[in-house]
Amino acid sequence: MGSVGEEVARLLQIGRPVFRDGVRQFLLARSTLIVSALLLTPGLLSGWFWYDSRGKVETQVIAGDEVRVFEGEVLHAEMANLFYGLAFELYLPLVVALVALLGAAELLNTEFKQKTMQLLRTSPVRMYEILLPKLLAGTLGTFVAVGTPLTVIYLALLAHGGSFGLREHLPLLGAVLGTLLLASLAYTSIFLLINALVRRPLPVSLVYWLVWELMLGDGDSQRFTVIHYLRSFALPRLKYLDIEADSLNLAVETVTDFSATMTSIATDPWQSVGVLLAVTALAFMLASRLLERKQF
Amino acid sequence: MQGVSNVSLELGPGITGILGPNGAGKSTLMKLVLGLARPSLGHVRIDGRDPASDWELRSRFGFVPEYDCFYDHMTAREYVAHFLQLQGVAPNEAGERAAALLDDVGLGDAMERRIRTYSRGMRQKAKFARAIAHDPDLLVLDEPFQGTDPTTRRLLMELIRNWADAGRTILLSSHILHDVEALTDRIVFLSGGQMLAVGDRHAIQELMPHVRQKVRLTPADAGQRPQLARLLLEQPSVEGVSLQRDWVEVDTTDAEAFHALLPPLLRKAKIAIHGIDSPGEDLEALYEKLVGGEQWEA
Repeated sequence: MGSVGEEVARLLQIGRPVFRDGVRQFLLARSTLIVSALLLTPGLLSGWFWYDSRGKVETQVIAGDEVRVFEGEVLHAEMANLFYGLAFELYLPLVVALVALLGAAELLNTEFKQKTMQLLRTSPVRMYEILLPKLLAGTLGTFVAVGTPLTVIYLALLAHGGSFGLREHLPLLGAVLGTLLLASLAYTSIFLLINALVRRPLPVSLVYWLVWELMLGDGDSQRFTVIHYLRSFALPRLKYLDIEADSLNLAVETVTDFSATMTSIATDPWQSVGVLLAVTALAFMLASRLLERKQF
Repeated sequence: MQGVSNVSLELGPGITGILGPNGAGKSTLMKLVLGLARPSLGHVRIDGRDPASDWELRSRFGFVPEYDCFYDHMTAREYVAHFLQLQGVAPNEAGERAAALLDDVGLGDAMERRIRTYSRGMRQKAKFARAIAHDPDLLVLDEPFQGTDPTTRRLLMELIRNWADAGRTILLSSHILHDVEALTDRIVFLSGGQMLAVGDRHAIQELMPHVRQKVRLTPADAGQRPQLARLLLEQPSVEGVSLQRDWVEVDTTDAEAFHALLPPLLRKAKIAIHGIDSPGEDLEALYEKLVGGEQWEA
């Protein structure tokens, strides 16, 4: 084995074509294009609202920034809440895992289907040198496929609130994109592992997603799910919107003699990042090992 | 997957043909050589190294699988260049080398087309180009002529001969006898996962003591045929004799012993022989006998 520098140089050389091809394959896959197009549809809400509220929106200029008011409500706050709901109740818990699942299958399972895995295994490369660029391609692909519609929706919705709202809620967009990046990384690694582990990864991936992530995603058991650490990472960044642990399903009910209170079980955000990175590393190492030992 | 057992084989430079019917274990044997499968008993070594665990060793392998193994979205040039880059070749050089190689195998005009639009023969050529692009020492070709037209077949055979002449070790499998016979004398017969015989056709004959073989003796004087037939019938290695118009045909289960006794016998009887040949000794006949298990009969 060469020095660390040589290993990194080699990893970059071997990884570049695999990564580039993986990103292209992921983003041009029919499934990715269809899902991304569907993800843009909530942006239509913005058009509907614009049509419905025409002539009823007042515009105020405060310190050079536009603030819009509709029926006594400050629009940018309403739109930020709507965007928060879309991102944290629909896109992050449901859509990201689905896109990562499809992407991992496109990146790894097609290598088995097209039988190119056998060519890779007869090439002078270690499996982690192939898998790492695929993990990065899957992460980037998922981030772009979901993050682009989310950013478009943010711009479309917050544009109604005026320039003040667009700038004021950038931390919300940052929280969403940061959480999305971590989710893309963790879910892609887990789905790559499933693709390396079983011959028919789609049903197993769906079971993991629907049974493990979604059903265990509430209550105390959520500490065993990825979604818990994603919400925990996002929580402090959403405080400015008065979002509490309870709103993000990060609280459990504690019953005393006289009352029931909600207690936060959120993990420290940086610990959450650590757990997500550890899960990613573990899944990656297991998948590499499995592929290296796979027989054809 | 057909397992293989009792296979002991040493490969050197030149072409070794693996012959056997579908399901004989040819592909499994090749996967063992390439390290794609691990033997549960025994071992495979390439220059003393284990191909299943030694990833660096794989830079010396070139593999043409029996099946299609393409990235559908790539052109032939991208495909060959992609694998060259995995060999550590810089992107620009990989592109240039891929183009030159594809030109050599007759895909110069089609190299920028996606492989999914290719005919079977063109796909086979693309597979060959990928396999030899990094100049490997060991080429493993699994049914390389399957589905190819006569022109492509001729071209690929010429390429294989050139690689062999350049000192490379080539392991080639086929279930078509003619293909193997046209390229090499060193043949491994496989059937049902067992290695039935190895060697050139003569060596294989020697390995089959119980296979009934025919030997045709043509006397210079056709009038000596009855005398020759009577003489041969007395020999223990001869099972039967038939008298034909110009020759005598002998059935023997011990060809080696028969050929050893023949010269002194003919000298003693003063019978001059115009020709000796074995009509059933072509590869097709051997193949049928071996695969039919005739050599195992007592």
